[in-house]
Amino acid sequence: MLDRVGLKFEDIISCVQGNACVEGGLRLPDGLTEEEMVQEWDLIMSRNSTPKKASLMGGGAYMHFVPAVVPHLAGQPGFVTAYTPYQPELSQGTLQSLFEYQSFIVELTDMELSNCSMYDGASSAAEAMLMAHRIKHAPRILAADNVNPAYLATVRTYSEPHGIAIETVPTDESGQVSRAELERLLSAAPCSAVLVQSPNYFGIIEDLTALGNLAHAHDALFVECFTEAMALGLLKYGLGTGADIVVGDAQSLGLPMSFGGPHLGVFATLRKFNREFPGRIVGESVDTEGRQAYVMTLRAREQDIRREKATSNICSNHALNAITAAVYLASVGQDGFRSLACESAAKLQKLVRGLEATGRFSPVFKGGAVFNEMVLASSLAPDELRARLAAVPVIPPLVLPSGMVPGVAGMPHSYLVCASELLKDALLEQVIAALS
Amino acid sequence: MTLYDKSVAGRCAFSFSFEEDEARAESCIPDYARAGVKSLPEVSELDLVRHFTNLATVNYGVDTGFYPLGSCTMKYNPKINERLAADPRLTMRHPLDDVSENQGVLQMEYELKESLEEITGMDDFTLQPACGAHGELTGMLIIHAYMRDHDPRRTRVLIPDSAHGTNPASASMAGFQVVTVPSDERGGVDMEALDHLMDDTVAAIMLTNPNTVGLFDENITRISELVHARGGLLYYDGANLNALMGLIRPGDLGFDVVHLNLHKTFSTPHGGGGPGAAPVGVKQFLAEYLPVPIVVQRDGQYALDSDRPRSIGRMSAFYGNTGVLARAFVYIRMMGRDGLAAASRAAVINANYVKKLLAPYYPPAYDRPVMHETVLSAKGYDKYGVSLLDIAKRLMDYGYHPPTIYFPHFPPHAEEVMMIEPTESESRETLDAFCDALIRISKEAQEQPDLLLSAPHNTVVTRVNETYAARHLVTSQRDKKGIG
Amino acid sequence: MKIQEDARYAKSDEWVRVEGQVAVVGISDYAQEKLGDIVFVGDIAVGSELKAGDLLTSVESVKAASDIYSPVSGKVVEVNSEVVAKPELVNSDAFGAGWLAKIELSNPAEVNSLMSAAEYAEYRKD
Repeated sequence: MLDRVGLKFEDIISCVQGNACVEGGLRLPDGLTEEEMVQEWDLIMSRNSTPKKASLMGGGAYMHFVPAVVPHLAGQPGFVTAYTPYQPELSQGTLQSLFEYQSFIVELTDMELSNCSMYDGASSAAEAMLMAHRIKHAPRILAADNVNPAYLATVRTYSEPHGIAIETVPTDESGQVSRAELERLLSAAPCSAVLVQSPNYFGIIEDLTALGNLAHAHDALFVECFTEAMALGLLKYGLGTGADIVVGDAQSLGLPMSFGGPHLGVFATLRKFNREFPGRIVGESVDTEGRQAYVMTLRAREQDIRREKATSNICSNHALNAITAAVYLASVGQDGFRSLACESAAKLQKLVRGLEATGRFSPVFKGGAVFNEMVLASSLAPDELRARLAAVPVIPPLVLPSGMVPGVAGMPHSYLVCASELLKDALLEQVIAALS
Repeated sequence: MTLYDKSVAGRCAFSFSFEEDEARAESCIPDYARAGVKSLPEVSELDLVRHFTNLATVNYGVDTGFYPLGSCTMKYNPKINERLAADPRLTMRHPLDDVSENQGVLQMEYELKESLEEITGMDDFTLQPACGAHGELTGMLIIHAYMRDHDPRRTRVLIPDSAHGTNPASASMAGFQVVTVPSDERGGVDMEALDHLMDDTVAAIMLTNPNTVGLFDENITRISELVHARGGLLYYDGANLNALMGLIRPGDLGFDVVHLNLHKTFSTPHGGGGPGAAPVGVKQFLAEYLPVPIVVQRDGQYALDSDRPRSIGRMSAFYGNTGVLARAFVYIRMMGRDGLAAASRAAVINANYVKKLLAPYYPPAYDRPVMHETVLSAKGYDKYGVSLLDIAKRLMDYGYHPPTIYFPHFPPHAEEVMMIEPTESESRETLDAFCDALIRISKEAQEQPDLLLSAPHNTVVTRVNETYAARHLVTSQRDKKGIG
Repeated sequence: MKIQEDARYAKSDEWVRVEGQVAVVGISDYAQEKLGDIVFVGDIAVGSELKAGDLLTSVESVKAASDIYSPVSGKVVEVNSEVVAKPELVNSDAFGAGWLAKIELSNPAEVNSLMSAAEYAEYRKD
């Protein structure tokens, strides 16, 4: 090819010479054929345990039923192999699908504006804190200490270079964030945002309206967070509870857990903050023939135009996962989504009753309402619990570090137990039998 | 038509055997329950399938045709990557399950990390960042933390004027003040300006090499020595690594931190805007600052190490985009040592080939050999009343995705330019046909400029009114209802 | 490019027209043309005290965002709410209906250091 245009490769790369070039090639193995690759992959993946039928483990990643149409449709090459939709004439598929995703998120979170995705719930929460700081300027944020610890850690990472102090608000004996403590901390000094998760890390549903009122009374933005998007089918968020921003992770909407990623960060807010929020957004417009068409809009906030003054550096997001979530929601429909949320909640109740009946488990927080996760104290140590469940095709519950939750007499271990629609009665009975 | 327009009350695509009583579940949480889910569309399975299949069909992807989007490296996404990454033994792993259950996935990540260390010449890697900008933020936070411990006066970061907008945005998000370094007339870093700016308040310089206009900065070793001698660090934006695999390594050039875009160089699909993955590599003296947890190997077992007191902390809830990492792992294993080097070589040859063929019609912005992408000018066409945008839109009628145009912060001596990155995936026949199209458009511009001005004609929609979208903000069905 | 004769101009392309103790501030026709279709004019707080060169607000087009600086010192006494609702007024009538704010001058002499119409025309002749 180079002959045709009169060039030599050595001349082209002469600019590189004189710098430290690789000699003798990279120290990597020879390439594999596709057939060899399949063998090698199989060898490696066989070192994982066999996939299970349901998960008693949640804590930020959830196993749910995924209809066959979801991966089929979201996996279409037109969606998968496209770039960011900079050229709307060639990208109406991505753009309209993202518009539909935004529409669904606006409805489920009950907010006015949704971007077309962030990386995951943790980075969404962190970006929400930076946005609140841009709006309110106070270098202080109050976060419930029962927000998912990995989310809190991410919030701290993002906030640290901006000198934003993250102070935590303790959990009371009911498992909810302490309103008295929140009020005391809000009164102590100005604060840009109050971050609350519901259901919180311990599974307890927070009284968002009451907490939002407190935040607003002290001129802080109220940021609601969720890690289990299935809760959006049963619980109130957003305008109905006074949120300024709703963030969370929507992996539950048709995406596999995939060892923690890629998940789907939800970011929804109020229209009045439409110059302040991070991330991309699709708007409806018309083409030169007057036909309905979609295009990325509110672009002047973004890094490629505003550079160091951008509202965020986010560029690529998790668009394909947003499309997956849109397909999922359209597939299960509004009634199906509600039913799934109820099924997950009811399965947890049934599981907890069964576990309590063994005499080996007891709820740590009494009285607080829960959705599909709950903290149980147990006399069974983690190793024994895991061994007993070895023959049951479920992922065992999450072990909480000692001291994280209050103790229960005679039950020194604590677990965050999760249930979903996949915990069919027959499987649930196997779990109870193994732990009896 | 959106799905809402196709919705009919009572239709449903969902088939599931519920076992529990819905009302009882609702009664468990009376105070907080919402009234029900409203305003999701109700469609049959076939309606749903046709809706999204048709949307995917009107979308242009690498599988559709040539996608020479400069700086985006739209190479072919091998289908074996997709198939293996969909393995339930990978997708059904809970990230918090005991590591003994997850040895396979951890091994895959560990081996990927080792390969990336070798390809870049770095000592350690985190696989956590979700995409390029997230990787940049991670890298700059590492530098921020290091300087806080060693030289807190250093609060500024130097960034060339040709850099991608994420560079300054990421530096700013990491708490740095951004200082712009001008380019010289050859498209590289202006050494005199650098010499003047590089003082004891500068923490680092962020560079892409080859840079955003496809040129390898021959001064890179001098830049590296100058910055290091004055106490600064070098950050390598790996957006353009596709030119260099097996030829030269950023680590050997003196870079202290690098991020890679697996959705560019390592063939993972872009998904219409992610998810990607952007591992960040560092030299040993920065390894203790990497985000936690890190995949490690101890006595033949793989584990996740969170015990790193100087770590910047977490960048996400878990360990990164494993599903994307898996695709890159497969790509690297299948390409092997020679395959990766051959890919970069072919990418460079293709870019120079296109540049030469098109030079008589669209003069190169810089008259010297390029690496993996070339920047060509359409400035001469304004005398026919035709802009670069019109040329780009007309390319769609020929069945191509346009190159990158109006990169907002090109150096001033490179206005009205398009950035073409053919990648190694494309055959000579494809490149010839693409160049023919651009040459024909050049003639059309002179003879029938209206054809360009009203282009594209063959797409599902014609030019979309961005001003209307911004002035009449409708970003959801709820907005539409409000307006209607 | 239109130039308003009775206005004075800053290098960053804002204009002021003095009416008694109050200066009307906007962006020049040249600036609106450079930016393209304006789609957003940011909030300006009535009552805020500004020094010459302080950030007044920002305006956005589809492809650019531009910070607007106050060319004079004083207190913002009125904001053009119409232009916030209809940013296109900046495009159609930069010197008239597209004005942005009125500032009560705390140092009227400052106005003299701004460019005259003739000087601005020279400054922005391409």
